[in-house]
Formats: sequence, C-alpha cells, structure tokens
Amino acid sequence: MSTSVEEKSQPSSDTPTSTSTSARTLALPEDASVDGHRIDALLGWSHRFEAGMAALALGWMVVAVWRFRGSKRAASDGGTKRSRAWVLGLALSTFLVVDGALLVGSEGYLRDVLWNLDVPAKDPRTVRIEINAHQWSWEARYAGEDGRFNTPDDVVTWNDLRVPAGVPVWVQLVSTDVVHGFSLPNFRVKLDAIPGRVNQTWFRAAREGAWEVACYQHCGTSHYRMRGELRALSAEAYAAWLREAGRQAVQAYDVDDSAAHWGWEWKAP
Amino acid sequence: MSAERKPAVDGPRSSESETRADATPPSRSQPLGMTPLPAASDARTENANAEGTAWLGTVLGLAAWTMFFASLAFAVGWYRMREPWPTLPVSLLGLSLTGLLLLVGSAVLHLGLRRRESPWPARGALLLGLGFLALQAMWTHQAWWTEHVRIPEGGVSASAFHGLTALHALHVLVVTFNLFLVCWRHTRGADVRASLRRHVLGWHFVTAMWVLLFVAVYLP
Amino acid sequence: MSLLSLDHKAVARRYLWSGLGFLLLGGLLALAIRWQWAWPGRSVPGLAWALPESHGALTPPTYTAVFTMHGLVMIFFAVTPLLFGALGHFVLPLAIGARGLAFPRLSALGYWVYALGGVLMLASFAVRLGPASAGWTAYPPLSTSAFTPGLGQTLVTVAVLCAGTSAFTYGLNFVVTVARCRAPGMTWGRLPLTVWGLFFASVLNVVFVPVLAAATVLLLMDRLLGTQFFIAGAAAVGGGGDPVVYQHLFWLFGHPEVYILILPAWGMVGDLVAFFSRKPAHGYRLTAGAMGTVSALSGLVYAHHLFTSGMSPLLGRTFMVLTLLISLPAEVMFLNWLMTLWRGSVRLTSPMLAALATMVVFGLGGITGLALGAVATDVPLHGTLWVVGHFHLTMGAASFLGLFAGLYFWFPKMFGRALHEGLAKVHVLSSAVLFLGVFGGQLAAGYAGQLRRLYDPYQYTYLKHLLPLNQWTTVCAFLLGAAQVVFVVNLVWTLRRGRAAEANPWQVGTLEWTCASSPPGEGNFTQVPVVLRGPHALSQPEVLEQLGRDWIGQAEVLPGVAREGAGEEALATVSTVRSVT
Ligand code: HEM
Ligand SMILES: [Cu+2]
Ligand SMILES: [Cu+2]
Repeated sequence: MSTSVEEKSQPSSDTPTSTSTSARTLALPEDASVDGHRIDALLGWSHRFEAGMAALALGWMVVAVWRFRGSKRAASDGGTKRSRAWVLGLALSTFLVVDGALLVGSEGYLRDVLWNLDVPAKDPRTVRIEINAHQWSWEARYAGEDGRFNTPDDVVTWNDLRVPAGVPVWVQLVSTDVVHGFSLPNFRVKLDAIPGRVNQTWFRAAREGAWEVACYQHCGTSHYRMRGELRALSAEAYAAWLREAGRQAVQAYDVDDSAAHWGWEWKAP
Repeated sequence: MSAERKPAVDGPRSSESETRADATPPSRSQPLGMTPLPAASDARTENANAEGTAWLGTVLGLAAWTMFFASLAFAVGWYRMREPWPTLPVSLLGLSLTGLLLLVGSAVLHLGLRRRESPWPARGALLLGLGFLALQAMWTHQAWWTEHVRIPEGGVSASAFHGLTALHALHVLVVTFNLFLVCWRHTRGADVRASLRRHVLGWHFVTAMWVLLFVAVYLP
Repeated sequence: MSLLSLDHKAVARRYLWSGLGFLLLGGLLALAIRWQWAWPGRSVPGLAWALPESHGALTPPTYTAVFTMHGLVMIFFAVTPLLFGALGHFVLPLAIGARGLAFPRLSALGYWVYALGGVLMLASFAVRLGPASAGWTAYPPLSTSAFTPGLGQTLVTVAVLCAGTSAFTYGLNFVVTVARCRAPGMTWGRLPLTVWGLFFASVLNVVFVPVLAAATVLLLMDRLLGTQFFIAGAAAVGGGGDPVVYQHLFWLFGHPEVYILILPAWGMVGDLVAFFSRKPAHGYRLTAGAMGTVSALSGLVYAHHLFTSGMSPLLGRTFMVLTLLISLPAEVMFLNWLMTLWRGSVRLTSPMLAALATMVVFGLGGITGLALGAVATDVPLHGTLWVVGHFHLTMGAASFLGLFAGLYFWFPKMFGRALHEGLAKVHVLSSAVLFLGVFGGQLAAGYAGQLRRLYDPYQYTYLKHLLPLNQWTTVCAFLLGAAQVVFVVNLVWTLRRGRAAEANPWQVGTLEWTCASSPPGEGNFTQVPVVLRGPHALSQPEVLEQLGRDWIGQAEVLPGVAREGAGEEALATVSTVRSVT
C-alpha cells in the first residue's frame, strides 16, 4: 500500500471500487461523508415539494380538461378580482413555503459546512491537500511531516487521494491548463479548478473505504478518463502511509526538477 | 385609443368588400383608398412616421449596443481590481486630445443640424473622424514599436489597450463611413436630413464610448 | 416569393426551412450522443460514411465535437430561428395589424447573416480537426487555440457571432415594430400574449446579445491575435487574464438566452389556452406582467451557473435569493393558465394539445430547476445529467412543443392549407410522451450522479449500474426521432395536396385570422384594421346573442353597438375577412 513519487505516473494497481455503491438507479450516489446527509435531506424535502407541485399542477390540468372538455358554455370573464387574488395568494404561498424551505435549508449548510472554513482551520487534525488538475489527471500534494508545502518531503500522488476518516480534509485546488471540475460524488463535493486562482473546499470522510474522484467540467478529449481514487484510511494507516511516502519522497527529491515544485504556500482562508 | 373616437368615414361596409385581400396590394406610400387612416393619410405624415420609426430604431439599437462596450469595460474593470494596472507609456494628454476630436465632431454635428442646408458640418466631422483614426493608429503604433507594449508579451493590459482601442476604432470607422455616404448622397442632390440626424446619433455614441474607453483602459 | 423578397412572410418562410433543416441536424447529433451512452464505442448505424476509420463508431474527439455542435445548432440555428425567425416574423406584424416589420430590409439582412453563420457551421464539419469541440459554453482556456487548435472552433465561433447578429437585428426590429406599427386601437392591453412574449424576448435579445458578442469577440482575439483576456495558467504570457471573466459574460447572456427561448412559447401557450377554452385568458395583465417580471429579473440571476466556481459567499447568496425569486412570477403565470382552463369549454385541437404538452414539460422543467437554484442542493446536481434533463425539459421540450403549437396553429395562415389534424395530434402526443421519457431518463441518471459530456460514463464504477437506464432513455430518444417522421409526412403531404384551409379554422378573433386572407398578401390587410377589443373576446354573451357565434374579431364591429354609437366606433368598415375567402 505505498504510492511513492517514483510510481506517480501509474495509478496504483489494486483497483478500489466504491465499496457498496447503491445499485438503485433512482438514488443519489452513496453518501460517505460526515456532513453530506444534510444536503441529501434537503434534496429529499425538495423532492416532496416537487412531487406536490407536480401533482397539483398536472392534476389540476387533467381535471380541468376532463371536466370542461367541450362543455356547452364557457365563462365570459378573464377572472374576477377574487380569482386573481387567489392566484397571487397561491403562488405566493407556494413560493414562500418551497423556496423558503430551500433557502433556509441551503443557508444552514452553507453557514455550517460549505463556506465555513473555520472548521478545518481550527481543527489541529486537519489534513491539507494541494491539488493540481491537469489534462487529464489529478496531481495531489501533501505537506509531509514538516507540515510545509513545496519542501523535499512533500508527498505527491497521481489520481490517488488518501485521507484519514473522520478528520477535516482541506483542499486547495488549481489548474494550469484548462478549467476542470473536482468532484467527489460520494462526499457531495464539487469545485472548479480554474487557471489563475486557488479555490478551496473541505469535507470529512465518514468511514474507511474507497471512492472515486471525477472531473465534471469538459476539459478536452479525454475528459471522461479524468478519474481518480480516494481512499479513506484509519488515522494510523494514514499516518503510516504518509511517513513512508514522505521518506521515499525525500530520497527521490530532485532540486533541479522545477516542474515538480508546483506547490504553494498554504493560503489563509 | 383615439382610434375609437374617429369620425365616421363613409365607405362600403366590411362585409361587402368581397375582393381578395391580396388582389390589390396597397403600397405603403399610397393613401389607403377608401378608408384613409389619419396616420397614413398623406405622403408627408407617412414619411414623418417612417422617419420617426427609423429614428427610434437607431436610438434603441445604439442604446442596446452600449451593452457591448459595457461588457468590455466590465472585463477590464475586473482585471484592474485583481492587480495594479500599469501606466501606459503613451501620453495621456495626446490620447485625450485625440478624443477631443470626437467631442468636437459631436458639437459640430449637433450645431450643424440646426443649420440645415450647409453640408460643411458633416464634411468637417468626416475630417475629424479620419483625424481621430489616424491619431489612434499613431498612438498604438508608438506603443507597439517604441514602447514595446505588445501582444502577447504585455499581458492583459496590453491586450486591453490594443484590443479595445481597435474595437472602438472599428466603430468609429463604420460611423465615419456612413457619414461619408450621407455626404456623398447629399452632393448628388438627395434629401439626407433625416438620415443625417440618425448618423449623428452614431457619432454621439462612439464619442460616449470613447469616454468609457478612456476611463476604463487609458486612465492609470 | 423570391429569395430577395423583403416581405416579413417570405423572410419567415426562409427561417422556417433553414431552421427545420438545422433541427434535423441537431436531432441527429443528439441521437449520436445517446447512442454512445447506450452502446459505448459501438458503430453508430449509418455513420460509417462519415467516420470510416472507426467504422462509424464515435471516438472521443468526435464525441466532443458532436455534443458541442448539437448544443450550438439547437440553440442558435434551430430553436431560436424557428421561434423568432419563422413564427415571430410571420405572426408579429399580422397580430398587431401592421403591414410589415418596421425595417423590412433589416429583417432580410438578418436572415442572410444567419444563413452565413449556418454555412460556416456546416463548413466546420469538413475542415481538418473537425468542428468546435469545447462545449456550447466554449469556456476558455479550453476554447483557445492552445487547447483546441483547428479552424473548426474558429469558424463556429464566428458562426455564433453571425447568429447573434441576426438575433440582434430581429430583436430590434420586433421591439420597434411593436412600439410603432400597431394598428389604430391596438393598445398595449390588447396585444395577444404571443406578442407580449415575443416583445419581451426581443428586448432580452437586444440587451444581452451584445454581451455575448463582447465575450465572443474577446475570445476570438485570444484565439487569433494572441491577446490574453481569458488566458491564465501555463499558457499565459505576461501575467495573463482571467477565464472567469468569460464565464460571467457568457452566462450574463446565457441565462437570459434560456428565457429568450421560452418566452415566445409562454406567450403562445397563454393565447392558445384561452382560444381553445373558448374564454378570455385569466388575469391577462398578470400574465403579461409576470412575463415582464421574469424578463427583468433574467439578467440578475445568471451566476447560479457559477455556484461551484469558487464565488465569494456574498455573491453566491445574492444570486441564490434572486434565482429563487424568479420562480414567483413563473408560478403566477402557470396558475393563470390553469385558471383559464377552468370553467372554459376545452377543445383538444392539435395546437391545444401541443400547448398543454408544453405546460406539462415546462412545469416539470421548472420544478426540477428549483433544487439547482439553492447552492447546497446544486452541489450534488451541478454538472450532471440532472441539469441536462432540467434544461432540456424547459428550453428543449417546452420550446419545441411550443414551437409546434404555434406551427400547427398558424400553418393554415402561412400556407393556406390545412394540416391533417389526426397526424398532428399523433405527432404532438407521441413527442410529448417521448420527451418525458428521454429527459426523465436523463434526470434520473443525473440524480444518480452521471456527469454530462462523458464519452464513456462507465469508466466510473459508481455509474456502471446506469447502463440499462441509459439504454432505455436512448430507445426513447430514437423513438422520438422516429415520431418526427409523422410531422414530415404531414408537412410534405399537406404542402402537395392538403385541402385548402378555411378562413378562420380555429374560430378566434385575432387580426391575422379575421382581417387577412390565408396566406396574407403583400401588405397583409386590404385596409389597416381598427382594433376594438382584446385578443380573447370569446364566449361574450352579447356576441353570442347577436352573431350566434362565440368569437368576434378584434376589429369587428358588433352591429348593435355600431347602431347605438353612430359616429363613435364607426370606422367600422374594417372587415372581418371571414367573408373574403
Ligand atoms: C430532440 C431531442 C434532444 C435530445 C435527445 C437531446 C439530447 C442531448 C444530450 C444527450 C446531450 C448531452 C448532454 C451532455 O452530456 O452535455 C445534449 C446536450 C445539449 N442539448 Fe440536447 N437534446 C435534444 C434537444 C435539444 C434542444 C431542442 C435543445 C435546445 C434548445 C438542446 C440543447 C442542448 C444543449 C445546449 C446541450 C449542451 C451541449 C453541451 O454540453 O455543450 N437539445 N442534448
Ligand atoms: Cu478535467
Ligand atoms: Cu440560468
């Protein structure tokens, strides 16, 4: 189980797959994150609203057509004050309930998770990863034991992310060629990798296992093959891996290979 | 709704008009036969109407096209917020004086429209337009060859300087050319007052857009 | 009518044939994408002549070109030109009682610019390295020459600029026509809702197409002249620009564009629902106002396409609120349509069926968009087929069905011949059901996480189980393609030997049906009508009583009224040309 800088061009050979991808077609990808359930629950609510609205609208339409098809007389007015008030009222209350719920639910998640970088920033256990998206692979950089980036003990992997389970993982993301999209479908994570800027996000793996990294922005011919793997390990296994990989990295370090030193000083949030 | 209040005009009732509608296509400029409509009753009002329509089209078209320059300015504004904008090695005074030509042209044309008959304001503006283009060409030439503000080496600020100057100059070129056509038709005896009035709007437009360009790109 | 005719009806016909041609092309490209997802890498039937090296199978580079061209062809060369170029050009002047568009030469010119763009699109298929392949959004740096070299991408970019130019010209033309050329008495409050829809959409066209032009021109300069506007990263020289600027400009145009595609269909649904419920539209002003509100908001919500681009939380929140806000007027409009049906006398003609189908698919499309408007729920769905299903339901299926509602409704007026109602109904119903199948399948696949634009989605383990679903969806798509044959047969047969249309087959009062012959001659009307009432004067008791029918022309004088008001409304001569043909 060691990926060192030497073998960086080949993804590791044991092919991990999502341990138990739900085979149900109409379900979200399995959620393996600590916080993703909040999104899933909100989506569940939004589906109930959607179903309700669809039933109301389509049911109303069907009933209207059924009942008034070819009827002898039609009303001659374009609605009364009252009927128009009803329309406005119904629209407004649907809007307040549905959009309100989405807004409030979404806001909670944004405040607590998505845009709350305080959590990874304050947690001493946080794992920081710098990711450089390429046509067509994910190059990831770990600070190594010294905790600083762009130093000889940096661990660099290709299409192979490793994180400890249960701990905040803080990702800073760049691209040097085209726009890519870094997504972890099983962790409800999505973020663009855009040349010229550093984007950041964070997540927590709920349990150990292996999942996939996918590019969601069209980035050229082989966009569909821009697939990586993400393994969530136990804290000990992760530490052991990082130590060993860092040791090998120091040995293989080449001062003159400037292309390999693409890391950057970690950006404050 | 004034139409509903119109006095009766005698003529055959509708149900009696058995002619196919397309049998005698009424031409736009002719009076409309048996039920002359006030708005189209004679060639003069008809003409005024068409002129008004053309004028409105020009105003709305130019107003909408402002969005093109606004978008360019938005882009440049974005770059300027990201990083300090290098000062141009081209004399700001020179650039402003060049723009002054457009402003003067605007004034000349505006005043000229009052004095209907004289062809000279338009011809003068034509010269001013050409002068503007020549000077802009000179500044960009100087920037490129003498000051080495080049594409792509100069990065986004050089791109903005050359690119936006060229896009604006293209608009000035079109306006000047149109003005030339108007002058030419005038020398051949056509009545060009209405069309001149519209093309002057084009001139005011490029003048205003030059101000935008100046603020967005040229100012340090 | 010759190719040089400036008549709005001749221009409309040109747009109609070109647009239908591109609709066919776009549809075939869509089927190629669908095939690839059902049977990845297998030869596409009938494509071997085009791709001899792979025996007709899509390769990754061809696949990227196929989906890019599908999107661009559909939006810029099929649906917009059909809605505005064909239906808009034809209907708008007639419906407001104008003799033509305000600027006939501009409209003809617009068509030729569009045609030039179309030729460039087609030509791009023949050049080395193929046509554009950076997605219809053409995000740089991918769309710059460093990553997508080749003439094709450039040709297509210019073609989009051409389509934009033509959209700008007819947008301007329509706005000015509505503002200046309405018949006497055609107040704003008497405009058919179709005209309102076209009007608002035209306003959006003139305001936002210049933004697309700016983005595209800057992109072209980056491609051709080496400017650095959108280039960053390793390819940048001298500091570089910022690709995000392009994304903002593109979507500042792109989001209004989706309303540009749907507003004319909304307007038509509003009218058709009233016509075929034999009853005035419920809340006419509210509906028109709602369309206006949506148009006004449409430029303020665009950054919901950029929720995952690393926007600042402040911007993200602002755009989330604005986006959710826009659903309110849409709901008002939808409820008004439903209320129009209620207590009406519903007639299920082919245009009505198409209008109802438009309501269904648009309703579902709108509903599935809600979750995309809130940042948290957008995260798992962004960039998946859920988005693709959502926008196809609205601007694909709804615009398409709205288009056919209009086409079936006005065909007799355009060509003087009546389409076969039975075939038309079969076409509408089968299309509607299959649309739901196709785009429902895409929604489901997207919900399960399938990302869009993937040559082979099954590279991903977590998507492997979606293969059967995708195969079903593809079967629906091919059936949908086959269903269009019904339309083509109907069209060809009718144009050859269809029966002559009645003067007012749908028994409605709008000017084109009551004051002009079918097809209308040059100048449209023998006399410019003087409008007396709104577009939906249906089932009015006094009309029923006096004329024995449930409709009255917008410019038709009720005999009784004329007698009483002697001088007043007597410019009565205006005909209902019912008697004419
Ligand atoms: C007629 C049936 C249609 C089918 C079966 C169909 C199918 C598809 C499929 C499979 C994709 C690929 C999605 C992706 O991976 O990005 C796609 C993309 C797209 N379609 Fe359609 N489509 C249809 C009609 C339309 C219509 C009418 C429009 C426009 C009004 C349209 C606009 C688009 C756009 C803009 C894209 C995105 C292209 C891109 O990714 O760059 N489609 N369509
Ligand atoms: Cu990628
Ligand atoms: Cu949008």
